[in-house]
Amino acid sequence: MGASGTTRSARGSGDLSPDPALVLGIDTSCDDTGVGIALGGKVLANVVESQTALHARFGGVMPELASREHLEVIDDVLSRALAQAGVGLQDLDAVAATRGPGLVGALLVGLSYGKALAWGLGLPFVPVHHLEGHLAAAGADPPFVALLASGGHTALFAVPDWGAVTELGRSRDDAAGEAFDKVARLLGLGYPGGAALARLAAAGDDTAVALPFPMQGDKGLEFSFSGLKTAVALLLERDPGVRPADVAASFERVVVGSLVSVTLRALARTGLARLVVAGGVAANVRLRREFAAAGVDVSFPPPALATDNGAMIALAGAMRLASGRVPEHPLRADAEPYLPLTGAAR
Amino acid sequence: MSAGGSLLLGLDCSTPHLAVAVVDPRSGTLAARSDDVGRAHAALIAEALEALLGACGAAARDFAAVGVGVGPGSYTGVRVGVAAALGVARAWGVGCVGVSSLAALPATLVGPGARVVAASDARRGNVYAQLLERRDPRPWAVSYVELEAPRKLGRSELTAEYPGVPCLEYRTVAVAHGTETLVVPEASALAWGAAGAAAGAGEPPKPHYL
Repeated sequence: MGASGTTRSARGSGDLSPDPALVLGIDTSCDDTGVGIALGGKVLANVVESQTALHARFGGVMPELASREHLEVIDDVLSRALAQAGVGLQDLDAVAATRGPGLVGALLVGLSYGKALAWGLGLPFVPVHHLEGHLAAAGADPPFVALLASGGHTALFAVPDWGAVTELGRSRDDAAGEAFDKVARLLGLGYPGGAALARLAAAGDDTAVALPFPMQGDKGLEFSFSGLKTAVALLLERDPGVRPADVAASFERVVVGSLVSVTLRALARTGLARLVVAGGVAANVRLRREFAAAGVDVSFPPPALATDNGAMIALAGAMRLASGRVPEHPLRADAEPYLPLTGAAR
Repeated sequence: MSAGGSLLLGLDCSTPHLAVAVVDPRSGTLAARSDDVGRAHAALIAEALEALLGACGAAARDFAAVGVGVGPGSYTGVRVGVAAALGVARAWGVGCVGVSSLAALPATLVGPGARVVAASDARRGNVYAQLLERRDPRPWAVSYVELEAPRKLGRSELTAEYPGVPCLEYRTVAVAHGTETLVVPEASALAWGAAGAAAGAGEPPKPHYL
């Protein structure tokens, strides 16, 4: 990453090069309360209070419950992040928070807290697009093609520069991570079971079960996973004796195959050489292996930053400060549950 | 400006009104704003605070604590208010105290020593209600003592539950001192609720999810 911020900080001495900005980032877009601190592309703190256990018994995220929990823990998560980084609030140069997309009630907690914190400290506030955070976490410099594959999104973007993004294509229905979680539930692996499904797949035969390849024959840059999920459901109904590991392995082969083939097409079509893969599905071992096998210059977020967190928001916020692409009235930013990444430059 | 950090900030986002106030415990309300912002509390809170401090010439170092309305009211609004109050209190290094949002219904309309039922609409024929007493005899000390926890009850039960106690309801017209006034939240009483709170001490504000 290596982007240095414009900063007023007096940290360090005798060095005339501009100090990188010390930025605090907050993410409360879904069911994790994340606060992180970054200094010039380096993560100094990354504290995530996960609500997964709280929502597991409902089989999905309960928005009202998530919002309540964020409010309960956010002040404490901030304390832990400051302690982890070994800095005080007075050392910060800016505060960034996710403004969207996500669950609106959940977003509002982190956004309101972050704004008030920045205003109270007299610091710049940087509203950040959640997905830009995931991209920043990979540590690659633009230009690149980005594949975002998580429980909420599956899409391809061209990113010529930070804050300048065009969408190349997306899923017409389910997100890839959503398909993983839904199939995991069909296999009785609980919620969220995407990671458990991938572990089970390692023990299976990935050619044992015939599943339809999504968008077969299509030459576009879109994805589709709901038909695949339905095919698995029908298969389990028809043949309850099928080995779950074989189902998992075959399902994973098809999902990863689809993600990789469409992404390679996007790289060829844009002429861009670099790829950033982000979102929860970026942690998938098979996906990483297949991109590597295809000889792509690919960056993934480090495992600690692969799922939702505040550190990636701090990194993206620092990028925005350095590039000057910040909204005119950042303190007026509102939560935007459906904010497209292509609108993040506003 | 009063020196030494003794001012109190009050704020409430539990109704469509965004209410903010600065109170000096020695002289009363220095500045207060209450605007119907619909659902734009999160978008407007920082600017409202900026304008509020500008109106009374107060700065971060002048404050001793923050009092915030914890409902009952809009769950989302309450959370925006509490999150903002926590953020400001954290930045200033002062305490943050949760106060019933019903106490934001203006104590200026109630004489010292008097009791009042503060109420706001809770939809489906219900109201949020709470018995409050304005105990402080000083005319500029517009604070309330909460005589009970806020509750939700049928609108028709209000008079039977609180016989003879005047009711002050959000967005109704009250007559006080011979003039008609629209009842809207006023954050001074919330600021008063934070008097004496130290940074990091006590319970963090807990919303009333009624």
